Amino acid sequence: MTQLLSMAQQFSGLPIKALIAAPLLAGAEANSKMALSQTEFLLKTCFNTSGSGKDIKYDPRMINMVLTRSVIKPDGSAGTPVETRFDLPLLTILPLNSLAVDEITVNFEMEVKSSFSNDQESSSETESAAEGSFSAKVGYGCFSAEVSGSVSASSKSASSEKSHYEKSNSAKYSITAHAGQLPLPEGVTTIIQAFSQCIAPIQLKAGDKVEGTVSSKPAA
Amino acid sequence: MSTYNEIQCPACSGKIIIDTKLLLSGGNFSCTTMSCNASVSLSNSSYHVANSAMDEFDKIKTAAQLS
Ligand SMILES: [Zn+2]
Repeated sequence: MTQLLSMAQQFSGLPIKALIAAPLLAGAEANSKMALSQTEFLLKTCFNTSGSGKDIKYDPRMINMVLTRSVIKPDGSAGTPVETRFDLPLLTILPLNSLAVDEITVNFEMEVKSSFSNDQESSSETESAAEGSFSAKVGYGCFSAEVSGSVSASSKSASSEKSHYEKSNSAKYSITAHAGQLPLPEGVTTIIQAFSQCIAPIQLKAGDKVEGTVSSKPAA
Repeated sequence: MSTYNEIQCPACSGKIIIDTKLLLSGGNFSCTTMSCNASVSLSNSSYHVANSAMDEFDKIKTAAQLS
């Protein structure tokens, strides 16, 4: 009887590894290239360098920001908004972690259907017939006799057989590979956090003069 | 692609969400703390530095998308 191929056999010839891994590897490679170019960008654009070789020193390039706070006077009316300037590392305003392959989805679906059906019909009929005749003459002295007769027989048999055999096999193989975006490395996050946490403005008292840092005095 | 970044509010230590593109076009970003009325914007003197950095960043982003 015809055998169905096992599902494992059906999939064995497929380069599943290549089918799934190739797009993921391409994504990873792209991510790696991006990480490298981001690092180069980070060091070149966001830092001022001094020294050379092992003694190279990176100082964050700063940008100047204006912090505006509205003022409410004791009588409830709006006062002149207070503007304070503070420096912020350039690095903290750049959307660095958005440069990565967001998602790779490999949807691989393969359907294998194998079926087998067998219809068998057989019938047989046999018929037999036999006929015979005999005659005999016997004589003894002056006595003679003649006997004749005939005999016939028939038989009939019929048989019929019908069989139906069906077998089916089906398998679906579905793979969803997902590569998500990795967060910024811990080190970079720490640097950005440290930088952004050091932006608390320095409050000046009346009479203090620091050029270019305060554009208007806080309301008393 | 999102260009949002988060900085700490200098007034209350809360969060200020900054969209770099909008910041460069003169946007003002308020602190997310309800009771804090602080807002930040980019100083004119730093516009050039920030803008050229963003240009460079866009370049590497485009190069990455093309490869
Ligand atoms: Zn605040």
